[in-house]
Amino acid sequence: MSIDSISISSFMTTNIVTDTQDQNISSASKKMDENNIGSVIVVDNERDKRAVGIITERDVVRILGKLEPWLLSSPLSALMSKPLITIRSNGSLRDGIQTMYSKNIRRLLVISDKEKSGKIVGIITDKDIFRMLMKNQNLVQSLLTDNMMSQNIQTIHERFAEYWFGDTLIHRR
Amino acid sequence: MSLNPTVRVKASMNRKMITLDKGLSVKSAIKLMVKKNIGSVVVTADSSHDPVGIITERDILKSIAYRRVRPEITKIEEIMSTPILSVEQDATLGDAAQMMIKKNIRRLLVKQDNKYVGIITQRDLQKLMTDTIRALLIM
Repeated sequence: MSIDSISISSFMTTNIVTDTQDQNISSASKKMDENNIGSVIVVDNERDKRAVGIITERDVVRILGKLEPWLLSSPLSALMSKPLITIRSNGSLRDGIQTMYSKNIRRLLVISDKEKSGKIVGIITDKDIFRMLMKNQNLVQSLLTDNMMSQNIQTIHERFAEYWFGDTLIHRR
Repeated sequence: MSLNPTVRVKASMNRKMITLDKGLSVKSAIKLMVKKNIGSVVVTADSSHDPVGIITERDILKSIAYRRVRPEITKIEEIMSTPILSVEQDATLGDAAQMMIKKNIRRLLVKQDNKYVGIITQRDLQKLMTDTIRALLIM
């Protein structure tokens, strides 16, 4: 198991929570809270469910901060962020981390690698990546040993091990 | 290999705790969060500096989702989260992360002896972890 062999599809969330673009932020907020998530995908309508944007928890607070009552009844289409940044489901964990970094975003919509239509099959967030790494200390361990070549890497390794696992990891070595 | 005692929660926490009094309006909390681009404000009581709760983005989201909260009138204490959960400043980042995952929360106050000295968020931890991974992979 490595950062290149783990596919996006193996850890993505397939239950994508959506709201239609004619809804308001109160509706989107409810969906975020009910599902314990930080964003909802905005779709064009209930029937086609084509993703057209995203609205996050931080967006909600920012919108409220404007203290303009009419924003509370504005449609999501006027408040959401777009375009959506996507990644193919057969991409690797490394691709996921790289894309988030280069675009400076924390969520990626996953599209099918099979169909030309680019059907949405899931979503990954920086939290998903983080949780997976926390659960797979072996993956982190192998990542570290595979990269133990230069002095620089040695330093990073020590820092990393101390930061994250304290005594446990060091005693195991 | 000896442990460097400085690389713990205390090395990565934010020492500047942004606070507001519990009697102030939700509007003041929202404004402060937006201005500072932060996801929470520590809530204090009266003249004391001891935190009594924390108001987070999620509390604000909930207030919009379910109640007709009027940000100008509703007080912070009516919607804030309690009790405060904390971690010792000498804990490892892994300890802090595990606690957040277990309790399903995104921020912990940091304690030294019996005093609150900072705050650490899941986002801080995520960033540290991915920064390190990225450095390792030289991406």
